[in-house]
Amino acid sequence: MDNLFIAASASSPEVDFRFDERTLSLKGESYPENAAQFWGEIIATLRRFLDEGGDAGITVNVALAYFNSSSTKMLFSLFDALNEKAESGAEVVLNWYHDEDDDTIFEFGQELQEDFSALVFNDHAVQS
Amino acid sequence: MSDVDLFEAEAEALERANGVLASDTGDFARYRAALEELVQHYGQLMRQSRRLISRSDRTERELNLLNARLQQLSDELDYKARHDNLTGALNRGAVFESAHRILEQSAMSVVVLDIDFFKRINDEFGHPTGDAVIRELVDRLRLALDGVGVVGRVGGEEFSILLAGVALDEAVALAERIRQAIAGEVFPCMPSRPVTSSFGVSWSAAGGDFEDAYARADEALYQAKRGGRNRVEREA
Repeated sequence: MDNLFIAASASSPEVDFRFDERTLSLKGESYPENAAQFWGEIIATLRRFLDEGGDAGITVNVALAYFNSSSTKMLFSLFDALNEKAESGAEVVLNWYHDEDDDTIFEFGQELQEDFSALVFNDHAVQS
Repeated sequence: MSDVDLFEAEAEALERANGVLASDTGDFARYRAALEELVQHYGQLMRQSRRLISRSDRTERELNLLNARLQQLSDELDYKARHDNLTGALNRGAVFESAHRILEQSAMSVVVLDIDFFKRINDEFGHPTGDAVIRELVDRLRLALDGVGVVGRVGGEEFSILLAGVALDEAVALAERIRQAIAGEVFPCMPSRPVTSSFGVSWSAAGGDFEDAYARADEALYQAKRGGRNRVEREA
């Protein structure tokens, strides 16, 4: 299927889903006016990719410096979809990037690790 | 596309469960399936809500800290905007503001004072010594006033004291006490020469005009200067 690329805007992150390379990246901040719509379409596309099957590994790179509550709710769905895929046998690696001083994002990553335990979670503290 | 909802999946599960309920079916398996789906979404919702609430609590805490810091900085800024940073006395703007406020409520005496030959002090001993003289003078002013009145620095070496509800005679006596507190003992920062000041005092009834009161006190100060300095004069 076609790769998905959405350029970053002031209130939404860059989405770079290279399905052909099985590498999915999110980068930036997320507080779009309609988080359900913004993320809904991305998650729908992701689910189609995941449903195409295959147990080949997937690498997910997330470098979100800020996301509001609505986006958080949608991100739970996104990670849920990835977690289901991992539970069904594919290795899904989540690389979680955060500023070394940003405890909020760091801790959110730790919580994701607890809630979506099938993902292979790698924390990456980035020097600012 | 504005009908996209944050709780789309949960809403769908709820709708399906409602559908089963409304169908009044006797098929036990359909109830079970609907319940299982609801349970799954319910559990997920609880988990997500817990995460979201703890995140928002955390954000709230951080915001409260930031707000407190902002309030503190704003107070500091407000203080700096109203005070002379050399002496901590009110600055000219704040003196005039205070005076107007006092006069709305009560009568007031105004003392204006000026350090004698201050330019010479600066020229001969340098500005750091000049600054030290000004600081020491304000300290002595405060000590002599003993909590009475409002002290302001209205110019380089010119100060004013607002005395709410104080009669003219009393204000003149107070000015005399301050004069002695300044002239009576050499300043440690400039031991080779005494520091003296000249004073002018005026009084206004409540509702009076401060610019006028200030001009009358200033005129009296001018008389004190002309009369030989190191003295107190009251308005004519």
